[in-house]
Amino acid sequence: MTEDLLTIGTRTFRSRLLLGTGKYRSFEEMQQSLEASGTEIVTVALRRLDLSRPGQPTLLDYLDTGRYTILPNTAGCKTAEEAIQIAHLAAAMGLPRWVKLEVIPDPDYLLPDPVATLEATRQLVKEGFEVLPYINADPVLARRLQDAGAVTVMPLGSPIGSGQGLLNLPQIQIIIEQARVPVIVDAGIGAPSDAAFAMELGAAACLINTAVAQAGNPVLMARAMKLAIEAGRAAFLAGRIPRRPQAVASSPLTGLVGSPS
Amino acid sequence: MAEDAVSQAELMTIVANGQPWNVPRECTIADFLGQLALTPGRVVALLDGIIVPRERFAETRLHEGCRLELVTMVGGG
Repeated sequence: MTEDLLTIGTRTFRSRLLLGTGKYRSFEEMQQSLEASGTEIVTVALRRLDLSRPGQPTLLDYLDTGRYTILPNTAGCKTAEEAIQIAHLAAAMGLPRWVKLEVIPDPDYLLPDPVATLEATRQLVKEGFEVLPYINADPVLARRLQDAGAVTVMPLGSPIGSGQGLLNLPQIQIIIEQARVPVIVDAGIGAPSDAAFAMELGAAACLINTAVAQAGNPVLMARAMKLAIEAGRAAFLAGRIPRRPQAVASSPLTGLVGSPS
Repeated sequence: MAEDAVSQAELMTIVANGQPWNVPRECTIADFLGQLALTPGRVVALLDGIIVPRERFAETRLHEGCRLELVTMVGGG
């Protein structure tokens, strides 16, 4: 059997778990969680350098950029223009020329702006970026983004950090059914069962942050997520049985002991 | 301000990451980071809205009233 690889744009990976680097209780815990998860792609945000604390340890002291492919996000951007500028800054920083595009004007539910996301995708694709847009689970938007050249679509299961699981399930299924690019379920995954379920449905990968970083034991949860992603992917490839309204016996119905015939 | 004091005649005020800073005239981005004892691994600058990659920090001079943003990677999802 050929190796089951994940291809996003021009890059190919073995792991189907993308892990965020935010919200860990310590950099050490983050580092060990990345290791335990088997991830190859980690997301980072861009922010102002803290000028008041020279010598403080930073993310970079704990992130092996030779080992992991860094995926910069545009978290915090409220407009297409802001997001485009963050992508430019990330590229100028020497990060790979790809971006997890988030344009989020709404602070309460952190739901992305579909119009601005499409605008920014068009512009960044024109500039040669590989764009991974974070979207609400809207199949029509997903198609428009693919048409615009997005290398994935990343529908949210439920609001960022909410851990509510796959509330948008029927819409995500439509996106997967129609997709010509990998569909990465991003946001809302609270437990390994959510991740496994997404993968069973045919998601190409999951992006997880809070569910690992804020778990009681992040390192153990990172491993649990790795196993769930692998199990869900294997189940998808294997092909699950159809759901039936009635029972179908697993043991033979003939040759029953003591039967008259 | 700098003009009022002889000792500060060689200084200028810039805004770096939203805060005012007095720095020597002719100061470059690299000088500014050096003055703060900051040696960040990955950093990029926005000088008055124009991106300056790290390779050009040593040759890029700041000017009175300029707005400098120094940006790096942090944890994110």
